[in-house]
Amino acid sequence: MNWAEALHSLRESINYPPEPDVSGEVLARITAAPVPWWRRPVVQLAAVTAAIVVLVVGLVPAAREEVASWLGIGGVTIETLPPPTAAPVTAPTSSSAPVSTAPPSTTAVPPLLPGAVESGLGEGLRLGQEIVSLTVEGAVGFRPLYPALEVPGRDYRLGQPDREFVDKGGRAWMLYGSQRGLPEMQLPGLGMIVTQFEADSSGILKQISAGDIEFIELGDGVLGLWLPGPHQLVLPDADGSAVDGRSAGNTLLWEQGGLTLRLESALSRDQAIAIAETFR
Amino acid sequence: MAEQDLIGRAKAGDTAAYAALVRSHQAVAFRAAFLITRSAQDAEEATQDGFVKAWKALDRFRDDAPFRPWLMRIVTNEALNRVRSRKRRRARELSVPLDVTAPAAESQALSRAEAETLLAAVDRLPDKYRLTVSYLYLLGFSEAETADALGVAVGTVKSRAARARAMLGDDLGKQR
Repeated sequence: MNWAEALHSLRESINYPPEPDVSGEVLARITAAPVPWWRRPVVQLAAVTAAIVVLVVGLVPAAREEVASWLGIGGVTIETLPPPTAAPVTAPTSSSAPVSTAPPSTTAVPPLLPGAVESGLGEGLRLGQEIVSLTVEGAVGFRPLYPALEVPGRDYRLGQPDREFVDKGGRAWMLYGSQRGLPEMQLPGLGMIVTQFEADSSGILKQISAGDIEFIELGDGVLGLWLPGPHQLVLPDADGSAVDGRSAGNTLLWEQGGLTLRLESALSRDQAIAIAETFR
Repeated sequence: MAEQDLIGRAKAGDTAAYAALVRSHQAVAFRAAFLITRSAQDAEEATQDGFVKAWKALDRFRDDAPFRPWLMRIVTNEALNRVRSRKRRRARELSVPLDVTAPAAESQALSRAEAETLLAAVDRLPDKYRLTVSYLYLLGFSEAETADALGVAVGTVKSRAARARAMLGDDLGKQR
């Protein structure tokens, strides 16, 4: 008997516990859950259009403060804007970062940009290549951190994300669908987006805020930054040129184990901190 | 009803059709999750959560692709996640050995002691090799199914299987 045969013969000799019937429980859970957004037909076209509105701003020239490096939130540059005026901060701006936009048609669905998620959760976001958890480490060169399955006192279940991506800038993206207690963000179907990258890299992403930055402290004395939404998120490509951006929601930034972590959601500051403290 | 029809209906929002899919795949999903977690409770939770996540992700499932490996990839991730969260709770958890039954008298299979020895050696393999061996041999998946379930190339499955067999040989003192 060779190894393969010996191993195959083990198949017959393992005593598994009796297999439970989970179909009733699964049925109850999927019936109770809201219909996923992409199965709501009326929403489809509108959602696609809304998700792809790319809110790139040029690099705001004057009066910026580089708070991030001073704080040691590696890899993230934060620029502050003057307090917002009546005009939103989404207008296309300086010539230093020209932005090509779709023709001003109100009916056509804009074409997806290269690297954008084609369908489902995260549709329209440029998150790069979809991968499974087993291969994230190989793709980005670091072991990513994940939140605990359960956060005390909360209904939602986190742990393994619903989708994971690695983009060309070396950023790992984890998407969690909205669920009870984890409300939908501005982006359809999404409850939480986690971004991770190595803390010693620089200019990995940039947040442009109107100044509402708050310093917070996570459990083990780890310093973090809280940027309430909406604010601008800019994602430079591998060569450092800012090519993509969007309006981001409430965001928590912190460093842990040599990584910079970014958690974006519609949750309050304290709830985001409670989740952040479970990352291992 | 054929599986493709059930999938089509489930994609259109038919939860009863999806429940039928759950019933036809839950045994193998549970066994795989049990091989990874070694806990009936964790395996049941991983199976249940895996099916719920698969439902949510069903729109991304390609109609012409085989359903089982796609589902198994989700369940595998759920099971691995539980192992990870368990390791967080207890610094270093010893793997619970698999329970082995005595082989049928007429079979040419291994004796109970041999099976236990071999399974213990499989348990000592690094995770990626242990998972490959578990799917390929203990669950009887094809190389293609194993590759899909683990999210790696078929060539990687082949090379990991060969390497795993070599490691088993070294581990067991080339007694075979």
